[in-house]
Amino acid sequence: MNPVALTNPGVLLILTGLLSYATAILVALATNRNPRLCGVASHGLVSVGALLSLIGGIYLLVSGVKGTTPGLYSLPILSELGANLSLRINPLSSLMVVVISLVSLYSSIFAIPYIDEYFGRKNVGVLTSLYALFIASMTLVVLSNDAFWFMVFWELMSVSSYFLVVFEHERQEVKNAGSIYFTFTHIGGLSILVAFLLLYMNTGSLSFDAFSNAMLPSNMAALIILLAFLGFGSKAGVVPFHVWLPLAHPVAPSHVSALMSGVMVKVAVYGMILLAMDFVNDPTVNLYLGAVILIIAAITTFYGVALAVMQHNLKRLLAYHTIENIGIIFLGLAVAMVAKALNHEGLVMLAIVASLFHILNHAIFKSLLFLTSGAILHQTHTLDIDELGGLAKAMKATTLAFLLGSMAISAIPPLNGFASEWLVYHSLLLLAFNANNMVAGIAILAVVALSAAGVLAVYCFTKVFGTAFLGIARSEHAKQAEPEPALMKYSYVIPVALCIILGVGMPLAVKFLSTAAAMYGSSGLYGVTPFSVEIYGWKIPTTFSAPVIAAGLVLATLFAAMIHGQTKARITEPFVSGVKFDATMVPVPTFYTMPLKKTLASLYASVKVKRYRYDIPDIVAGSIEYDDEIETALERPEEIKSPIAKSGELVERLVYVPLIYFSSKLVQVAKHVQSGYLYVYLLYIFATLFALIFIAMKV
Amino acid sequence: MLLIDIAVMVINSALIVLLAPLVDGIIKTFVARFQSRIGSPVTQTYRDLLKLLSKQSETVPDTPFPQLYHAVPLVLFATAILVASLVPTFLNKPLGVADIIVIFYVLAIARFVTSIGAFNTVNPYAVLGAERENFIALMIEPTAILSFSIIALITGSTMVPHIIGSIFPDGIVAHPALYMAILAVVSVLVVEMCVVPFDLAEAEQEIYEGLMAEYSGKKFALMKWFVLVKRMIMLTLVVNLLIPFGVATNLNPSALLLGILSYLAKIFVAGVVLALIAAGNARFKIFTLARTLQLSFGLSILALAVYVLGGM
Repeated sequence: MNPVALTNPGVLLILTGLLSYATAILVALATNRNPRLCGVASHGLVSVGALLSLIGGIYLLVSGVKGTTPGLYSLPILSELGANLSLRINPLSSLMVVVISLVSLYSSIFAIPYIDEYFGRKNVGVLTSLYALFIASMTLVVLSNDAFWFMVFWELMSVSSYFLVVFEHERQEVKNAGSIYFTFTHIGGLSILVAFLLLYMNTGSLSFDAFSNAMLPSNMAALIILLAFLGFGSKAGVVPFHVWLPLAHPVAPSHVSALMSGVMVKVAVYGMILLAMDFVNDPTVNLYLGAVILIIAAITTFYGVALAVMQHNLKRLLAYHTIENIGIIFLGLAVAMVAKALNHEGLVMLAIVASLFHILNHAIFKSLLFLTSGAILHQTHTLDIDELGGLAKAMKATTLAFLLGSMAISAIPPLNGFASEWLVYHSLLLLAFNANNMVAGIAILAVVALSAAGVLAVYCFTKVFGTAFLGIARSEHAKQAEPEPALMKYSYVIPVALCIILGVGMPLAVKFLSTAAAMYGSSGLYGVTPFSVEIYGWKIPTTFSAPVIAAGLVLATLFAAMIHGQTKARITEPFVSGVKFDATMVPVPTFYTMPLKKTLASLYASVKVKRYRYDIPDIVAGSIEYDDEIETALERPEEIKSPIAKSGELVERLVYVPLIYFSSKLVQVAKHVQSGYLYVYLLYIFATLFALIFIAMKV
Repeated sequence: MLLIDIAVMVINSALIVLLAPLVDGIIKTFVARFQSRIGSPVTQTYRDLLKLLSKQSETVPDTPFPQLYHAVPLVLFATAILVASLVPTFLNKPLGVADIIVIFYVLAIARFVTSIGAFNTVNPYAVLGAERENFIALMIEPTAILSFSIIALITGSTMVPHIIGSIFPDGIVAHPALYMAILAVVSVLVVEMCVVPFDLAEAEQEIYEGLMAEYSGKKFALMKWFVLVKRMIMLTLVVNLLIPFGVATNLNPSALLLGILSYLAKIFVAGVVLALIAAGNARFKIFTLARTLQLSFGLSILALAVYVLGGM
């Protein structure tokens, strides 16, 4: 690899940013006696560091620098094996640095007013130093150029995020979520480690440069991809390894949830791209495992959103949407894998651009949604949408930001969510157009999952926005909501602006990301003109001009406003077929999703039918009784005692309940081996000894 | 070239938006005739809209987000105008702006906005309408996108003009999956037309126009017009997919004249067929409609199977 000097401005800026994070850790620990000062100083330092590495990342991405820096730190044996902490600088890792720093920048600003919640109650210094450590370790994971330091920073990221998840460990719910997260991250880390060790066995080096040129036997390559998919997939939240995600992401402090859901899962995707696209170059493996990952990603997409619709806890709902979006990102990645096996370079680039664009977009709107729900938590002290309502009156900035974020995540054009989903659609369709029929069938079914996910996302976010921000306040919490602190409002500005800019300016954004995708091909199946993105590979070029659609929408709205003109308004009560309107008639979330719950009941499990009784005054004497509302265990996970395997998800019933059952059965059997008597253990020792002697004599 | 493109978009849009009330009138008149009534004149819908648009005052519910209440009808009407400009009517010219996926997602703007608008009015009937709208969309959209994907794979593009232009290639029998997919797509687009057996979200006598329950005066007119334009868009797509003959492919005056006349004739016939459906059926219950729509999904899956196995 060609060397990159440490004095390269981009590298220098990123290193300064890292130094700033380190200072923030020290400052946070030094000033934790004064929480207000600690919050302002350390979050200020983190956001300065994030800004510096953001600029550095953009500089590196635009200049397209590719190579490795000299080693920063070397240990005797490790540096001989190629692990000397040199930084991997290429457009892909620069893009990841951009994503990490961007989200950290505004999340840190948001955190300053947010953490006053913990003053006098918790140690803010610990929270902030862990937060800075978390950001720094994520940045270092994507910059690592050898397996050793990658694993060190990966585990550092996992451990720091674990402590952030269990920060409010007084609550049992948080403790359970933390242990499940720890278990999954442990298994995931282990399988990544094994994958790296297998690569080491084949190359004799720990350096990623050596991994890139590895010549692997097919079965070894398949094993490595499978292990990597288990490890990175479980971190990213791919079904069926996702169960920890909706438990752990929501219970962390909101600015940390924004980073975990917006960024940390993307670091895992980066790892998967590295393994699947850079290290393993086996056509057969890429074809078959790519098809398998395509199927899993399609299931993940639909499953995540179908479960999200039913949630009542705002942050848990957003966590399920993360699963959906990870599915969409993996759809693009899987298409790239299969296309690579088919030697279709243009399609590889298109799919990678689609994937990277969705990584960027999801990081932005998901962190925005987590921050706005953090503001709701901060102002109302509840996240249960059954208890919210009418927040639009008091929290105007949060309402607008949440509305925009939910339109972006529901893939409403011309915002950014749709822009990347459109590219994913075309990667899938073009894969179907170019591949053999079996792969075409799978790709088209993935298209169906994607379109169903789009509809359900609209269903879900109209429910959330309609019941949390509109309507009437349904509890004291929501009634007491006050306007959000000014800094929170300012922190929304960047993500809101980017949701619009990346959507309307889709051609520019795609051009920007093409530098990163250019690592995997020389020319993609797409072209960019100033006003539109064109997809080649069809019989005629297929175009989508986001700026024209946006302009058309604005012009048409102005035209409609012209037709409408001015009117005099008179406030009246809602018309409810002649009876007097009262607040109990305002629809609740459960009501809105009722038909869906009946249709997808098998996904949600343990359906309870509630008996309803309505007294009807005045019109007829007496009352009506009927069975109507279905309540699922999924909607009320708080009531479930056991931490896992009872939340009512289909996957938990199909995979984890049997798994736990059989392993406990196994333990029941295995415990007879451990009798506790000394002579039995002596017998074991002698038996082993004789067996070994017997084997030795045979040889 | 660009100017012609823009002109085509504007003419398409104007044609669909202005003809939409007439088609509604035709449907209403024919429904009345089928039911042995005289019915209102064909132009009645225009009169209704003009009357509502001339209202100077309106009733407004007490909402937490009044700006949203005022914006909803405008945005709705705007999406109608925009989508109308993207669908080829009498002239099959490739507009390099959007493909079928974009068209469906622009219509999703309308669904998103009406749904949160319904919550904003605090009216339970409006939310019931929104619930039905979203649930039915879940039954429709995957089928539509799946069928259009199959159509795109066979015809070679997702651009609507290209699809319409290559459905009946000269003298060659195309893939059987193509016609199955078209059939599936037509069967779901009919549901989007908001005529009697399928108008669950509006359901005039049942939930008081559902989504529009709290709107009056000019806003009500714009929302009603949106529904009519959406019906017209679906109708245009359906007739041009089923009977792609006569659509002009160049700017030749005779071709254009033939295009306009055949378009009007097709729309008229489609209106009469819709009137037959409307007069002969009672409104579906939501789960009955869902079951019926599952048949359409089954048909499109069958089309996929035929496509996948057919090429082996």
